[in-house]
Amino acid sequence: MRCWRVNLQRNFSLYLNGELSPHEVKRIEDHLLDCASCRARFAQLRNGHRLAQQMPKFTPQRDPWASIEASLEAERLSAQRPRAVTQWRGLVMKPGFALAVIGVAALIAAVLIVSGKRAPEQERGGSLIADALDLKEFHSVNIADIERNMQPHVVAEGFVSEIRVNDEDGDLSFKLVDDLGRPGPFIVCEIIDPIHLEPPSVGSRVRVYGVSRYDGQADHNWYEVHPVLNIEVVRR
Amino acid sequence: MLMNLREKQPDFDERELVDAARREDRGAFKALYERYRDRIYNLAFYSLGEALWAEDVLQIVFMKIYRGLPGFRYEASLSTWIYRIAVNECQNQLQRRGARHVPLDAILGSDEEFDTGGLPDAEQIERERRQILRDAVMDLSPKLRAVVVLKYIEGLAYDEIARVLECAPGTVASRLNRALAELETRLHPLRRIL
Ligand SMILES: [Zn+2]
Repeated sequence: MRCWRVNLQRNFSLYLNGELSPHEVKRIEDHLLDCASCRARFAQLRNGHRLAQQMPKFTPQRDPWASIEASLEAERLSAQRPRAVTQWRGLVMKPGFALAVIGVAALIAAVLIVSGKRAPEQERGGSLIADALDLKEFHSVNIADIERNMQPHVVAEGFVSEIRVNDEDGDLSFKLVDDLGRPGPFIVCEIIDPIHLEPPSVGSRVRVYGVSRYDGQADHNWYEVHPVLNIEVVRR
Repeated sequence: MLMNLREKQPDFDERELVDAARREDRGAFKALYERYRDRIYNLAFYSLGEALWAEDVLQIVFMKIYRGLPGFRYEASLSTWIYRIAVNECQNQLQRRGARHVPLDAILGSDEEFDTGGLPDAEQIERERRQILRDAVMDLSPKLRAVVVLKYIEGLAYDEIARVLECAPGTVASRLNRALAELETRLHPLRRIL
């Protein structure tokens, strides 16, 4: 028969975690002696508790400290001078936050900061991170071949067939295709909030630098450059 | 008395670190980062289910912590405040990108997955065990998962979990009961290897 001592039952997991007063512990133990329904429930929770105690812990595979430090430094520098006009090559860190700095780029930025080579960035008015990107490090891929690509940092060239703004977060994505006139393979390129890039115009031909990944969500199933780190206009 | 002093010590250290980090002392901020890095990473990993995504979020969370430190007034403890930033960021991320659900079939799998012919070595068994447990936790709803992770991975007390999640302690207790019951139900078929 079902037992309705819900307040007492609610304390079962606290009991298992040793977070009850001796008085409450005794109340539960006394009740369990008398109530078969609660004993069954308690046994189930005790097994669940034993399993939860075995949950594995993880550590990050790469330590993002270098990226964080580079972002902080980039912010500090951009706070010290008026915001420059955004260039095509420019990655201006928004005051929002800075997912922007990824792996290699951030490490290079950190090295630049440490070695104090700030001159190029100041001359151009772009951000430190933008100038720290070594575009030669990006692996060139064809749009049709991106599914065979294994490199994380890629550059792909193509035409911009459409641009969309995500309703929820205002992030912007555009489709990169080989041929504007015909349906065919494409790559979805996402410009995300912390990396402020000027969107390309529809019909222009661009080279897109960024991080490749596969979006396996049910209604997606496509290849992406996410986030886009740099855009070069080949033909407007 | 001695016990009390020792218990207070971490807070005292943290206050000094927080004060120094506010004065843009990068070394102090890095010390705070190292204290919380793995904790936030685990929370993010279990919330999002992807290692790379969790690393990105770890970075975002610490940027937010750095920016928020000047306004932090110890209305909550530092750890509560940091966990709250992390929990909120994970929720934002899930809303933005959409949660990736791990179906139960992926956990239970087909029989041959655990009967690979011949005895797998101890390491293999351990790896599978970890994977099964992790996947079972990932299969909980985000709300239940959050309390399980804050309790069993982060080791927070019920009332601190309540403060992080900004809900009543009774809600934490109810969610944890449900989570434990679900874990048990999901993993019951595999009890022999767990
Ligand atoms: Zn009962």
